[in-house]
Amino acid sequence: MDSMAKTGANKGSGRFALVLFLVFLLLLGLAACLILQRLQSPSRAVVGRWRMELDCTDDAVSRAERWLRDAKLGDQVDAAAFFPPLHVDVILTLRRDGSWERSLDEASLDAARQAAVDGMAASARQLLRLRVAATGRGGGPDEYAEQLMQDALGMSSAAYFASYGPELLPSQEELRERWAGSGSWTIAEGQIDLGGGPVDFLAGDRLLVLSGPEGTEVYARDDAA
Amino acid sequence: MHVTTRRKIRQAAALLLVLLLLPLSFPAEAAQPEKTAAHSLLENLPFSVDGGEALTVKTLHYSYGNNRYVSLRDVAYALSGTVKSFSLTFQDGSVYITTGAPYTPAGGEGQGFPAQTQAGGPYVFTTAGILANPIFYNDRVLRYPNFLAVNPSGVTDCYLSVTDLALIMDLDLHVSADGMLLDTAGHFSIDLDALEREGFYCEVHSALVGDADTGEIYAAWEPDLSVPIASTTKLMTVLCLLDAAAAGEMTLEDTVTIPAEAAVLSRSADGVIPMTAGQSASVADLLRGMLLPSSNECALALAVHLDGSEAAFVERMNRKAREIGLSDSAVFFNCHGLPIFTDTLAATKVQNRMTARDMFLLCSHLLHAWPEVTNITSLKIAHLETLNADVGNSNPLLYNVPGVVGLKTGTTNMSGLCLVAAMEAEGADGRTHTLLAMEFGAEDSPARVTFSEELLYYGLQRLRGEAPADAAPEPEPADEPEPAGIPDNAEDLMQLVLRRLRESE
Repeated sequence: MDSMAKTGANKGSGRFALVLFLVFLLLLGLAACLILQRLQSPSRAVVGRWRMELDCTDDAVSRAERWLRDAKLGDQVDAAAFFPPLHVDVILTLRRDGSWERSLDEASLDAARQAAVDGMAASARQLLRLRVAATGRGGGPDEYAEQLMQDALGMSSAAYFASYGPELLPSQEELRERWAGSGSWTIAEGQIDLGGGPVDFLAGDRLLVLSGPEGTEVYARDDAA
Repeated sequence: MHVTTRRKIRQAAALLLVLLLLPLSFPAEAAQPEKTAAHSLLENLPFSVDGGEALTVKTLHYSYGNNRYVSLRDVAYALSGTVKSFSLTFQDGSVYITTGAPYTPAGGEGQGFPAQTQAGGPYVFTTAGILANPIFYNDRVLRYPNFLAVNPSGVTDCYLSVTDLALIMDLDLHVSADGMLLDTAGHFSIDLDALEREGFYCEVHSALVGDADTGEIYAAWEPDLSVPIASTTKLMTVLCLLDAAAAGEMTLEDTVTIPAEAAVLSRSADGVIPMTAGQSASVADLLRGMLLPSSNECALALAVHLDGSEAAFVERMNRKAREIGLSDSAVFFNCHGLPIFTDTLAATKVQNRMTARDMFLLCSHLLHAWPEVTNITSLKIAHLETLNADVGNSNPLLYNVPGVVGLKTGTTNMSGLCLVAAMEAEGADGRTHTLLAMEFGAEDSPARVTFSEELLYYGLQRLRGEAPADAAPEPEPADEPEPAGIPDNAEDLMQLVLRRLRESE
């Protein structure tokens, strides 16, 4: 009896091991398929929401310097020292159904505009300090220059430049015309076409690079989506 | 199958499963976008000579934007055929410049950095970095920081600071982000007021330039600020020693027995010339060792020889400071200028201190009382027989500026890089004067050299009566009818604010 029980138990355990092994093989195959699919499907790689930073810093600094140089001693102000990096984000969404949409991140545009205004105001205050010093009065600190501007203008230097200062960034209309849009996308022969003609692309898990006649666009996966 | 065996199989299978599925849960690492520098490292600039057609010169921004180093080959090419022409050759890591000689192009001059090499890759040149590669300038050997760079075609070039280039070659050179302009009929000049407006003195804690013979101070920045003076201390040390010798307390022909504390100092991290206790050395060698390579152990040996202990010598130094009229800010704790800790429970790290004005007074007094001290401070090298040492002078201006006769460098972490320079030059009155230019607190060696030279050249301009007139205060704008509305350009905005300022005063 005991030996028969043992034999029965052995057969049962053997079946269990076999089932376990089969499940293991099944899962192994599934994993392999998943890996292969992720590696071999460019379409799947590009689908998603992507974000690109447009660097507007140099352009804004150039515009600021042009404005400053209209004034005496304006060429002695290093405007770049007063501007932080200015980035406007572009959001590109590529959907599985073959549609795409691109838009400006309005919040980043507003932030860049404000930072540009602040940088312009700081540059102008520096120019004012130089001009005051040239009259023999002593330049004074930045706060003094701000006070002088408020007394003369009836508003803060930042408010003045926000309303009356030079355009430091491309207008919203210009940016939308260049970057906003929608349409259909396709991938063929290793190139992606968003409706404007096929362009080379490189898609990884975190980066999407589009390279065509108009230049190169680098997008990062937008995890905030 | 045994139970334990089944369990082990299940465990193994589970582990294998986890290992297989684990990679799927982690996204593939994407290449990070390459960080770009905050400013361009390489820059092509238009370069116009005498208003002619502009060539494109290669410039480097070293570490900071606007800290421009320019290709000497491009400059030599641009100046070919002019009164400022010079030949340029390279050999064994040295640069050879001969003014007035024709330049032989190597190819590529005046075209800037190409976007790509012929192979299609990015422009690359090899360099060992910024070094004091010797520059043989006519009959002088200059010490300016520079890059030697080999371009992809194997051609060697030298990149020199645009300021140093203008100083060396006496160039009327103007540089900005828009380009370089050179007037070969002009000369290098310093508009100190303009430089000050641009932040010239931001590089140092204090500075001063003046005439040691007349006592006139031409320019000063924070002249009454008490600053650590590091090894420029040794100018007071030598004054005390020379005065003592004149008073018969010692002679310059004495033989000094090296005390133990000097030997110990010589073997420390601050040691310069190795010594052993009981060794004999001449006063003359110790003075040269103290003033040329700034040997702290030589200063200590001399101090102990004269007064028996450093503490007693330091008392002499502080008395001397009062005697010659230095301010109460002039305080000495030792004879060499190193930082030391006070001998108290709450030990404090202290350093000798004085003001730039005090140093001007000290050096003026020293040069008046002992003009022969420059026979030592002007030496570039010396052999110290009794110390078995060959030493060089740490003062870079001796090599770079004709007429410089001393005096002393100094460096500690707190003091920064300091330099007190003396230069003999003929003034507008036809007599020889000694200019003193000093700075305390420069951040690095290039800053010390360039700042000191610019200050010295300004002093020279004033001595010769060549300085640009002091910038006149901006003339008050004529009363104009107040423009209606808000100003819409920079000049109108400035005029409005300045008008309001005048009205409020």
